[in-house]
Amino acid sequence: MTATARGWSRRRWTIAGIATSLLLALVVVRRPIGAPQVAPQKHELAIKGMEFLPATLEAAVGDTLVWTNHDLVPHTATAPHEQWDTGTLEQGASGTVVLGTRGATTYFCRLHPTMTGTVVVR
Amino acid sequence: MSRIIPTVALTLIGLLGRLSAQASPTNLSDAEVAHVAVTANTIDIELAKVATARAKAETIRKFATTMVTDHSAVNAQAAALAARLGVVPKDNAVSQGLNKGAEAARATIETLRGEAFDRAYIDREVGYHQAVLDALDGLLIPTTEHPELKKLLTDVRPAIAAHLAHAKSLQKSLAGR
Repeated sequence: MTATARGWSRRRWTIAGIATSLLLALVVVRRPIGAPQVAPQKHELAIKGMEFLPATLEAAVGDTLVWTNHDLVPHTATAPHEQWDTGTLEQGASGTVVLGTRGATTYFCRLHPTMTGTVVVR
Repeated sequence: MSRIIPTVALTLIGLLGRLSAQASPTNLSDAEVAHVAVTANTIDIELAKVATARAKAETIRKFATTMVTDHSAVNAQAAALAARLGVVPKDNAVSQGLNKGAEAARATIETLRGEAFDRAYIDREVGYHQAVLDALDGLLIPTTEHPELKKLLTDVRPAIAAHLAHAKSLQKSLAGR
């Protein structure tokens, strides 16, 4: 084999190696269609001083939101048409909601309707 | 008749305003402040109980139910704190003034029915919560010496402000009918 032929052969092996690596990388990185990008997360929110804190929260479908009431008076965290509702939370109690649909929702306290917060579901 | 209620509310606001303006921060003891706080809550609970039974609009009945729940929760905390601190709430001129104003307001409101009752009750709640808020800022919080009692009053303030905002919103919706 000439030096030129040996050079071509080496280049072919190199190209084949790179192509194989790229294919393997794609197989490893690609997830099944419809599977979540990351594991569902839990977000802690506070109800304090008649406010939802944070006032706006970004989360993903499947995430869990946990509100804890630090006020003297009871509260709820309730979606506009009550698609979800923590129920009444006395002082020190927590309520949980699992997010099911994408979009922005301005929720409120059923007992104190002037209290509002926003959840943006990606 | 409905013009009488704002007059009663204004009288109450005037009473609390005068007391706030006249009282120096040392005029009320912690025991007297505790009595004023419990009296103010109790007055609102008693009228709210009437409203839960008599109000025509569901929104007004719900508001009244919240007033019973919230002011009862605050009174329970105040009683527990006073007991823990060994403070016996002491009757005083401010509490007596509040009770006198409340009796007059209740006597008038209780004669009303239907939408007239709803309007009178919510007008009174707007005036009363504004007066209590002013009293907290101008008299009760500055007067109180014990840090835990002061903290309780400070913690209660946002609830009173939220009640006032809620009452004003209902007042506006009733005016549009």
